[in-house]
Amino acid sequence: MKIGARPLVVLHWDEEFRERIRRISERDYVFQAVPDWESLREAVRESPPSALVVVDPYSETNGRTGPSPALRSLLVEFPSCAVFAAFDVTPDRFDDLRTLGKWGVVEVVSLEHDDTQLALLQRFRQSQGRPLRALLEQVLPPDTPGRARAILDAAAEVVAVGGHGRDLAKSLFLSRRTLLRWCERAELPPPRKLLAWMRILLAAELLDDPGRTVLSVAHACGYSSDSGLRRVTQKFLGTSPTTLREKGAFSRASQAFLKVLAKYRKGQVIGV
Amino acid sequence: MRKPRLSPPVRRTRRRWRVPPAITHGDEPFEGAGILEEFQGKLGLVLWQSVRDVSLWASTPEDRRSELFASGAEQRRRAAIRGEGLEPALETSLLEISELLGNPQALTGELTARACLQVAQWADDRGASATALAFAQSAAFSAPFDAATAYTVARLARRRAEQARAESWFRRTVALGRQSGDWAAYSLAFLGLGNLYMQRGVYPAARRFYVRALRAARRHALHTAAGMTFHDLFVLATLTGRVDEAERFARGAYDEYGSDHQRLPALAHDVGYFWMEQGYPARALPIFRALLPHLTRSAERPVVLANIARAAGAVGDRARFDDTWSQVWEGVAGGDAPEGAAGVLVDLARGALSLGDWERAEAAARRALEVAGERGEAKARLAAEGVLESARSREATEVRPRPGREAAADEADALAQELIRSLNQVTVPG
Repeated sequence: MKIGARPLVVLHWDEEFRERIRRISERDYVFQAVPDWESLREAVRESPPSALVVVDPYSETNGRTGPSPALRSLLVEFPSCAVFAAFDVTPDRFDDLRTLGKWGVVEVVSLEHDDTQLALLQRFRQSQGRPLRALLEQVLPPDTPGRARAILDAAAEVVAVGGHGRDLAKSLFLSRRTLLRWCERAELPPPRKLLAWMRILLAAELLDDPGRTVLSVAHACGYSSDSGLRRVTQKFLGTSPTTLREKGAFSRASQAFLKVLAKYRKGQVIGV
Repeated sequence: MRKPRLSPPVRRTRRRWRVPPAITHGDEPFEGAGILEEFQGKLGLVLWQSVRDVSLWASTPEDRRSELFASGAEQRRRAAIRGEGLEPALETSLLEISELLGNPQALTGELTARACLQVAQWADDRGASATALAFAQSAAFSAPFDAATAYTVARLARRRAEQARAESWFRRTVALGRQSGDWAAYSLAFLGLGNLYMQRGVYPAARRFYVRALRAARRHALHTAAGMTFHDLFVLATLTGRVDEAERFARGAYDEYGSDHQRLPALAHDVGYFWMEQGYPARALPIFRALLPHLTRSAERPVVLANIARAAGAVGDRARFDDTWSQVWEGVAGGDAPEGAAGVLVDLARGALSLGDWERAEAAARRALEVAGERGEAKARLAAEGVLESARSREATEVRPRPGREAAADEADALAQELIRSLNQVTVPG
């Protein structure tokens, strides 16, 4: 599975702000400005899981107070999407801030405060893989050791940007050998297998997005066609993406993953 | 004779130490969102923005921090803080934090961490645990090598029942404590890990952590930490039914705490309760009585009074039982029962049962059942059902001492006497 450069899709009225994002995206991201929510929806549908979306939540509110319902629809349709809300955070928008959190916005950029290039870059980096991390947090059993959780957390971040074992080691400031030892100690599969599982979970997360087709998920995950994705889901989960989607893809994939983790914890290492 | 060592030992290993990464988020949708749930309006906004500013500042290389915030951000923030009419201590801390907006390179990590910890303490005092945790974590980002700050984060996370997050911070504290020689944090972090594993019911792992905490505490003469560890080992031993070991650990805790330690009442209560459960009410009763003047929180008093009633009932002291019953019963018999009321009622019922006072036993057990049902306390409900059954079938249920423990009785009696003497000697706070 190969994921290309990260798209950075922007829907914002402030030209100067858009330009600032365009400048910082030169190295690590592929910048794309869209004029309206509909174009944003289309862009998100075809984008890989590593994509970032920056929006003005008050864009096209059609005279209503509060954040745009179009943003809510976008997050309902693509819950796996990492959406940043960039707006002027003032006391009268306190309730909107909480609403945005409930809708699933992963980060807020406060205009005229932390909207500098460096601050934006830092926030983008920190939000890597946040939707997958949040989902994992919900399914991991409460007795999962802290060390294991920290590695899983880092692994979720790494796969979201198409990273590999060496990237995982780097993100934890470890050598690859130490990472292997840490995985053993935390009763986790070795890094390569762990990342393979994370990719499956990521694909499953995308399959649960109502706005995506199986083919678009396959493309988003770096496969040239849906047969590649089918092969992988068949190997790891014994089922096709379509069936998986019908039965709740992330829930089924995470159950299978937890079973594998349980076997590692009991010392019954298996081949997958 | 060996010369005493005046300097720390030279590190012989060249192996690099790796500090495990800590989990830095809970289930909040974005950073600091928990603050918005605990504080409304302008104050909530100022706190939320401050905590985010610190973590952004701390995660940026020092030489680039001046590029982080928009111009005029500091003035706007200071005006917002001053316009709020906050408590002076909180205002000072928030103003200190706001300095990093205007002059980010002038502020040190240590100063920022201190300001954040002050806000965390302020929030914690008001029961705002998410805010306290967010600020403590920002403090830990600002002073990333400070074991004590990492320990504070771990403790706050555990209090919020964020177990994995707490564990990752405890492990980080262990590594940082070892690196920096902060043995108090090192030992307390192992103790924290032990408590976490005990809560999960993984007793062997909990014991291993306690033993490591104890070793570190004793090696570095940290009496409070050693006392706390013995205390927790005692609790673990009672849970696992190791009676002899429990008494040995109780003695260890008492010796390490000393006779005037602030945690002595807690230890005395736990040991007294343990003896009650083991069938030694005569040994436990004077301990509970000596404890009474030490109770500063109103919620604790009925618990100890109920223990006194139970012990008095078990030793056949009807006058004391009647007196104690009348002190407790009014507070728990009707209306909204306070936290822990079901347990209190069960103990009252047991005392009445021992005296053959079936009516009162039944009344207390019935009320305990009601309260436990209302509050969803399954354990208390089970106990209440058992006592109610005994009251209806007119049979006493108090535990009899196990045979073959006579040899240990002298030591236990001696510990009880020492606990009572210490409790009577210590000046009661307030």
